[in-house]
Amino acid sequence: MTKHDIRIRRNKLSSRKIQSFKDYKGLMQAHRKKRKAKTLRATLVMLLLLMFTLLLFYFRSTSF
Amino acid sequence: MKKPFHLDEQQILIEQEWVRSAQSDSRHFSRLYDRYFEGIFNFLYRRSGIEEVAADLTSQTFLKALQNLHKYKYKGVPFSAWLFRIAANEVNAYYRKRQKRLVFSLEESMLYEILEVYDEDYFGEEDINQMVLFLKELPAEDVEVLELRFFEEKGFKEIAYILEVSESGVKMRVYRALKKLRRFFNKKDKKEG
Repeated sequence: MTKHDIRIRRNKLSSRKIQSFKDYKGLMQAHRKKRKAKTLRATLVMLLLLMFTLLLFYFRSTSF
Repeated sequence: MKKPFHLDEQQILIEQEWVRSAQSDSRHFSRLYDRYFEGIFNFLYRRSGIEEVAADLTSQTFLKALQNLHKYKYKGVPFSAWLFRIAANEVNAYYRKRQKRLVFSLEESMLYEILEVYDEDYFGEEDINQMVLFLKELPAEDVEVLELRFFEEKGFKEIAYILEVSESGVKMRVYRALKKLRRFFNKKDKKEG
């Protein structure tokens, strides 16, 4: 059983206050940054695989 | 007690259209962001009790939603249920990482709504403290279900989807919690009487 605390608030947060935390521009920027990093990672993995394949072919061709 | 919030068929169709549009171009995500920001924020504020933490977790939730939007498939519950599922996972990860005690920060006025299920006219302000004691005694998993049912006004199907449990399991937890609540206040009545 997980332990927990219960706190009671008298008031709800106002809609205006909540809206002040909104940052759609920041969200899109973070999304683009993450997407770029993902693409970069995928490209690096592809390059490494390609290099590994080429090396494998090279050693196989020189060993005979 | 207010009826749980449900979208009608037409609203679900419109919402699904918005989702499809955002899936093909993430710039169209703003409509979903605007519509659900406040609901997700309130949920995370109730689960953390700190505005800044709620804001941070809300950002994380929407970022995760954007990144995984291509995986989203309609499963008979509103899109918001998918967002709430991400938010619930985010807040659980937050507590796990920090090894902190779970917090439920609840509005007093909403607590009366749970009490109304028991008896409409009986409860006064002093009973809130008793209610807090009762909620502290309940397992956190049951408080989580009650919170989604009475504070977020979610239907059983949606709660089941959010918590990744069966619908009958959710019904059982709510039923069990309300039964305990009844027993708790009956015991209190006997002591006072």
